[in-house]
Amino acid sequence: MAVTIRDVARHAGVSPSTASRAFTLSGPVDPETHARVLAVAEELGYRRNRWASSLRGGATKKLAMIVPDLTNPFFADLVRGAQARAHELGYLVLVTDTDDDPRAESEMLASLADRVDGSLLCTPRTPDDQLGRLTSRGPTVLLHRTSDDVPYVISDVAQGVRLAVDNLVALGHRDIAYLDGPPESWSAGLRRTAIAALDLPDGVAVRTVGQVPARFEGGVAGGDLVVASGATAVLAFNDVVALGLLHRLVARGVRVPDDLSVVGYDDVPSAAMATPGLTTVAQPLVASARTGVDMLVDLVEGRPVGDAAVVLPTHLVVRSSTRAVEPLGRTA
Amino acid sequence: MSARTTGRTTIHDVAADLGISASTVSRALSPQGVVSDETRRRVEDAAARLGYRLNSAARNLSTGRTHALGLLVPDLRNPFFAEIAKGAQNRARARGHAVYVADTNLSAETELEAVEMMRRDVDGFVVCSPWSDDERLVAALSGVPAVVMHREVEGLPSVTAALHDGMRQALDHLRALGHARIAYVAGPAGSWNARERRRGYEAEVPEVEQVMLGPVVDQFEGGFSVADALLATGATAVVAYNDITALGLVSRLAARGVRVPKDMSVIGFDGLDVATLANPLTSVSVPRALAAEHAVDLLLRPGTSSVVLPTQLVVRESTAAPS
Repeated sequence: MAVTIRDVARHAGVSPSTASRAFTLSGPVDPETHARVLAVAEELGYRRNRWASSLRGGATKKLAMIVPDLTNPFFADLVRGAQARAHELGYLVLVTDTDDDPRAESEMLASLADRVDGSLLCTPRTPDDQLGRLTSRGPTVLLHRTSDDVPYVISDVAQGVRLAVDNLVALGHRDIAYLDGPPESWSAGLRRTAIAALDLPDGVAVRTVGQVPARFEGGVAGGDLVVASGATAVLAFNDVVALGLLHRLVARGVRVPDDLSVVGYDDVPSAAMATPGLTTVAQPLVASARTGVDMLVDLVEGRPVGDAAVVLPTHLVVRSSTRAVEPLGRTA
Repeated sequence: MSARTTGRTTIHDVAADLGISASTVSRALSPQGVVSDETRRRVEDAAARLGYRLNSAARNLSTGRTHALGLLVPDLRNPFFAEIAKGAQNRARARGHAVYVADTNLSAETELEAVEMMRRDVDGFVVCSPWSDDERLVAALSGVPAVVMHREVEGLPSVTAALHDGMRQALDHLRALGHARIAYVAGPAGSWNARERRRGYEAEVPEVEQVMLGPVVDQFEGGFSVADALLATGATAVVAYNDITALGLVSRLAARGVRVPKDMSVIGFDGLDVATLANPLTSVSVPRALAAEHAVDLLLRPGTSSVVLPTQLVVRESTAAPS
């Protein structure tokens, strides 16, 4: 029976993810632990072919990329950025879509493990306590999610939320609705934390009016909640939800931005294609994927990763879906 | 060195060098293969010494081995291809196969490289709207099962849509509404899809009545930029080569104060969900997920001939009688 990384971890008295980190140098490992894991591996005969990818140094010239849904433009942008950067570095990215099923992630990784040098993971729905199972299979970098075990690239969510709300406040909005994403989404959790932490001027409130699936249909369903809230502006969980919201508002006869200002989040290509164009918080999707590829290729080729926790800035893109509230006292 | 003097080092050369069977070499080089550590080490050493490349011929030709299919698409940011990827993935999974998608970045070179790099990882390829010319594509795909989607390639089975018929449906709809002067915004000349759609328009509209705009390169920006020229033609209706270009047109028309559909009817092509944003677009729906399912079936059940799927005009809110 072949020696696995679990055997090495058990004998060394560390977790499998720590043992994996010791081999892949994919995160902080205490030097003493590092030496112990390597010594145990040697002793047990845990060799090459099992952790080949980290030693071969880019033998397959392929990287795996796991995403929950390719038809979500957020992930399409990440894939595009990753593919383009990988190509510049002489690698090919093999993408698989888990169809929003976190259980499929480990199957996909297992099917790809021997065919690639490392993996980029986009996994917004996997619970924290199950993340280690996905990140212990050789060189791994997480996109738009943090980890204690492996390097990651994320954008500054607190900044993004603040930019959106500050802009609405500057336009005179006092009553701002937030249409939240699904409870199980990791990034929706970050967004909620960021909203709770906002330092709002007196008289300004940001109210969560509902939690909807992070899809076009979610925005359609949330539209009625937003209208009923009486808010003059709404920040949607993401652009796709905001576009569904616009669709429902048109059907309800609510004019955007005259009656209601709408702000999205992400800046996916369709945000600019809608009429009116969607004001949104631009996440550095392509840049984050490029950075993730650089980090992963460093790991694969045995170079140290400079910064294992990269936080990229966001910025606000103002289009036509937001406008100023009429100043008080002004009459038509 | 082995007795072979031409071509690449094969698994047989490695086997001969070590005096063991080729199947043992194969197992030793396969991550799941059961061999002793000692044998695996000897084989790996010999393979390295002889310059045997893992991705060379031997593993390509075995079929049904990887239970995975390769899907090449030119641009996943285009929802048309994202929906194809989704459809292929779901169909293949239901049939026990994984799908590895490669976005080839609108580049013929990248397509050919991807085929070379992936061929030992998959049992076959679905190649969607490739940019490579027929000859190079067929050469790259030789020895591995392959199906082409949304393009015809001499020598390969394909799944395409009835584009001429879709164009006829769009033009019939506009004529029935009373439009006499119908413009067309052509897509990139290098694209088979764009070419076929343009041919459909040219076949359906008498030459003297044709109002040809474009070709656009960047889809949304192209549509946006061509809108002013469209207004100058006096046309009361326009068919765009795809939905994204139609959205670009609509966006610029709105900025010019031209009301759609009252002042200008607009029809897109593809029937994407993105075309239902805010102001739902009338469009010719081209099958994406369904076409991908056919392509996967064709790949897994070889011997079947090419498939042409119907297109369908979907009338939404961007077309009306001229005022």
